[in-house]
Amino acid sequence: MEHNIFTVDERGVVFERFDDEVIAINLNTGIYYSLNGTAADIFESLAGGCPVTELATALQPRYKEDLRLFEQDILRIVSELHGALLIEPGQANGKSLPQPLSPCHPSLTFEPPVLKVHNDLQDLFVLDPVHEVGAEGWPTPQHPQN
Amino acid sequence: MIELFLRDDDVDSEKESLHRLIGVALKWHVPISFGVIPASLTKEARHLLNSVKSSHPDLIELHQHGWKHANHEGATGKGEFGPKRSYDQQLDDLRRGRDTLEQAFGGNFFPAFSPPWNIYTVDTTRAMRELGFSVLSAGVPYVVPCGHNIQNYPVMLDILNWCYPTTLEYSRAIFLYMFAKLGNLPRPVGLLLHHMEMTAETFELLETQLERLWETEQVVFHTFETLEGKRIRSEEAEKHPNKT
Repeated sequence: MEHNIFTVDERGVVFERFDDEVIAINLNTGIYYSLNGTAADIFESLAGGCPVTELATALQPRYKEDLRLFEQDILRIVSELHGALLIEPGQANGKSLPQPLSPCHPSLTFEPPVLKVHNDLQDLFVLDPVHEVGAEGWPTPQHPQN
Repeated sequence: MIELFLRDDDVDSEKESLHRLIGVALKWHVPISFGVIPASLTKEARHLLNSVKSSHPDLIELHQHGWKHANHEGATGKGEFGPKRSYDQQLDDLRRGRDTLEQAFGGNFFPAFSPPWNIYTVDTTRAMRELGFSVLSAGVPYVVPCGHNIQNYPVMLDILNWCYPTTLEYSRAIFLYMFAKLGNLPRPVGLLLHHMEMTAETFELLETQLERLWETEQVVFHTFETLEGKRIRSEEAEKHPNKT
């Protein structure tokens, strides 16, 4: 993989963990994504500054399997996250590696990481509620001639 | 200060999901305006709503949601108060609904109107004015100028995806977006609920998010009555700036 460190553009991407998944919205495209537990762990680790090459080590304490065997899955989801513009290449920030999320004992099964794409709220999410609304009010967009 | 209100639609019978939503309002001290379908309101639901409104007048609001929640738009769309209804037809339905709810709830009824499927026309607001309504609540996806001195408090965020009502991702994305944009959304922010369609997971999500909102000190929860009262006071203050 060309890049080893990624960051999240906080102005363009918002995300949150809800129980078993992370929901992330790219506010520039209006597309939102759901990440299953494994993908969520990888995404949050990247957002916390973990290098791609250290992901398996950083996440290992949570999982029962040897994560070195899932390197291809990890690289694939990193590539998908990058392609979706949820992460962008960054620089090492000198922080220590993020601590693994609880639980610290290996209890999880490493499912193939999945990034699901949702565009059913795109019109709403991409609209600037202050500057791009029409006379009818938000969420009706401005007509081009306005 | 961020002003927010919750509207719940399609209230007519005493269902477990209705009890649960009322419980959420009471537990978190968050007012909810319940849109009651007059023609199908059951005696049990009337008792329940009157009882809880009387004991928690600031948290429960009862307003009119259509008349029968019947679709008159045929195959072309949805709407009980849409373009296929004449002024007289709308006036009749609106009046019957209002009379039914006034009889059922007396002073517990607040004269606001939310049209089923959020569809309305200028004739709707004309009929509302004729009958003394001053508050409309419509919203996504249908927004037409109100006119007739009717105040519209639209719901802009619907926590359910009507194509796939049980998809939790959608509801979570709505809340994530709301929190991300909370300071920038036009106010008041209206959130639409449908208790009958909400799953156990959706209820849990709603409670979690209400807890977060409670912790956000800048958020004030409203009903249509408090919003309208605030608007009127503000207008009065503008007319009489020196009056204290």
